[in-house]
Amino acid sequence: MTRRRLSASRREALAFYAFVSPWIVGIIVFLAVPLVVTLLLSFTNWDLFQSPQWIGLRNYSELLFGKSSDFWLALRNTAYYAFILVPLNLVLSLGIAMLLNQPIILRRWFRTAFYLPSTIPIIAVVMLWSWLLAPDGIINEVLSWFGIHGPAWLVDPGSVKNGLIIMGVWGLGGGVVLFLAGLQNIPRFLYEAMMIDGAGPFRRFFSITLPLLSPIILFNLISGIISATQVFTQVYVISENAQNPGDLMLVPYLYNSAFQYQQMGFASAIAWVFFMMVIALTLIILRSARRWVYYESKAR
Amino acid sequence: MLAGAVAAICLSAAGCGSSGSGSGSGSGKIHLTLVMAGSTIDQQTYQERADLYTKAHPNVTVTVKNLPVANSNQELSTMIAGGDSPDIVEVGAVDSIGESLFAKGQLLNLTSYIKSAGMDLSKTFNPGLVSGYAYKGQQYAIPDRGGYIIFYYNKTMFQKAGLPLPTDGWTWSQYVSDAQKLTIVQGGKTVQWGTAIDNWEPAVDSVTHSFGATLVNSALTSATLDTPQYENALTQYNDLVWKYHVSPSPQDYANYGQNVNRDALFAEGKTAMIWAGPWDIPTDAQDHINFGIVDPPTGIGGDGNMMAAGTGLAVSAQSHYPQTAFDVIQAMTSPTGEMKIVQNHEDIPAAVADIPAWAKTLPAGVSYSQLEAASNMIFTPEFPVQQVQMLTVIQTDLTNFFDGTQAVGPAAEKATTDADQVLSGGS
Repeated sequence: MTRRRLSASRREALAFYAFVSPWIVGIIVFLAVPLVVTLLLSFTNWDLFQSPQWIGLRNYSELLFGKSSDFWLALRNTAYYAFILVPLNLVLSLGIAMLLNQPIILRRWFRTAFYLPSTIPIIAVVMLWSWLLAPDGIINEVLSWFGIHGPAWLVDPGSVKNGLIIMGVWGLGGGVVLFLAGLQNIPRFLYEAMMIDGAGPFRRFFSITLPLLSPIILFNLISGIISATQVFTQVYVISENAQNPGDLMLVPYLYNSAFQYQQMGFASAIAWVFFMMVIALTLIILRSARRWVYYESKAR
Repeated sequence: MLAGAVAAICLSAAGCGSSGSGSGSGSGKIHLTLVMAGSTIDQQTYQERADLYTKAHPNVTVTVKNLPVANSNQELSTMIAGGDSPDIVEVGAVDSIGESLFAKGQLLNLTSYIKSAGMDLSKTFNPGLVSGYAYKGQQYAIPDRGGYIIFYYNKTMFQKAGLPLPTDGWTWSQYVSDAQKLTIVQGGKTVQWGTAIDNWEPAVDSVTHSFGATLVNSALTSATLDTPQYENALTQYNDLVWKYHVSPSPQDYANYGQNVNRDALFAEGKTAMIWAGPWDIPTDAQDHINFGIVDPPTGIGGDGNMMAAGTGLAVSAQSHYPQTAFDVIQAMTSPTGEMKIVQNHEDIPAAVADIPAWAKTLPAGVSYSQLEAASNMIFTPEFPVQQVQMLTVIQTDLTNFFDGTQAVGPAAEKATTDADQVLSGGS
């Protein structure tokens, strides 16, 4: 009796699935299953201890239309934070990358210096900036030299988001590194050709640099939006369990609902609404990318 | 079909978990877990107290597990929901999920156990402490550590200012007057604060209670922050910052550094008076502060100005050995069991019989006599099951008021509305 042997292609396919299975299992266990479970939980009143009871859309209704729901406040705060911080970081990191791309002395030292802050643990960053942004701290001291009376950045509900934005800008090193890599991949002959044609630095920037960096801008934009909208640690540490209405953000709101108040169903509803919003925003950005993102490979 | 399977997973995970707590073997050995949140001294003291029982009952072992204080509520909830519930749970009198857990059937009703054991809690403990661990007339925990909010004053500052030291029953107006005289401003900067207040809930509740105000109505169905008594109490309290300028504002605290609060200012000799718990006594003695303790100043027409801030011990409903767990608690909270709290300088014991011994451990120059005279002023407000969420919502809504940017009326009204929403089952 002869054993039936697997064909080469089948063996190759099995090997493929064997090697990729840990990743697939991880995706299913840590992503797909929680997604489905939280979706189901969002239609229940589960409080961790008692069996969940199906309540339909009540969590969503309470979240979006409830009189004392903090969802809209958290959304406004999160949107303010993200839509100021992300563009600011993009502009600043690109500007810094362009400066670091120049042949200056101690260039490597400067590159390290600009990247290092993004590697510091977030708790240490918060402690440091709490001191810098104190009402009588260094930042306000410098502002006072120019006749500006700085606010209590991390205390006043009206200014705490701005304080968080300042804190967030400090960690733009990751974006700088990506832009720097992109700048160094731009062929020099393109600039030389434009210079021969008499194009000035601004023209060269808008006609060559920006278009060729646009894929990296797109990546930084999407990853920045996702990261900024998920801000948690800074808010939680600064305002002691996110009790300051000026900096109540969506993720701390979700965390409090789940783990302080044991409203798992309600927290799941927050998670799904938040998830759909981020998905929608990402899709809008990707759709718009057709107009302004230039892929060199497609052009060829 | 997938959704149904997932729902089944979800529902089974929502149950009490697979193993419950407490372990034993066929030879009659019982192992219990006690969960608490505090310092290493706290953990050590709990273990020593539990060992008093296990020495007399060699078949029983008790392990004390220390949870991080900041997230203890969350960690405890997760343990219970995950089927890893401890047998004995330390619950707090303030900002604790004890009542919530009991209402959801996660803590045992100890009323029948107490009756069977012939315990008379009102004789063993201060009645103001006992009621803090009862819900709708049923006892879910036994008082364990008897701390309550007291008032600290810096004797050296009072003496330098030529002011008489505070005594039991001193009034609010006397307090404000003293605070004004004790505040020192040099070069436009306050170098010594007459007092230091903030929005720390036990202190706020102690003050408002002494003005005859309550946070919720007696039925626990509606918040009462928008009553004239409560608004008056809040105003009197906040005026210390914004009218009399005798206490640091939130901005002033921020200038001192992250997480610097009234306790730190008192220990550094920057303020003359603060509300705090008895846990500050060892620290202030260590920092060589010449201080005294007294009951806080009394507002107008109030009763009870020292809110209970201690702990109790409860039995998990998932424990396999509830009677043994109760017996351990009974031993730990007896006068003998609580003597360890005194010997280790941990806290004030809840057992009344041990208070004289605790008073003798106070640092030289610190007398218990004023507090002893005011022991009837200890109170525990009755909180609803949604205590944690309600207090968070109230603190958030009063932030602008304590920042001095909003009047008490609108702030109290919003806090009442939002708290009512929480109490009615909305979010």
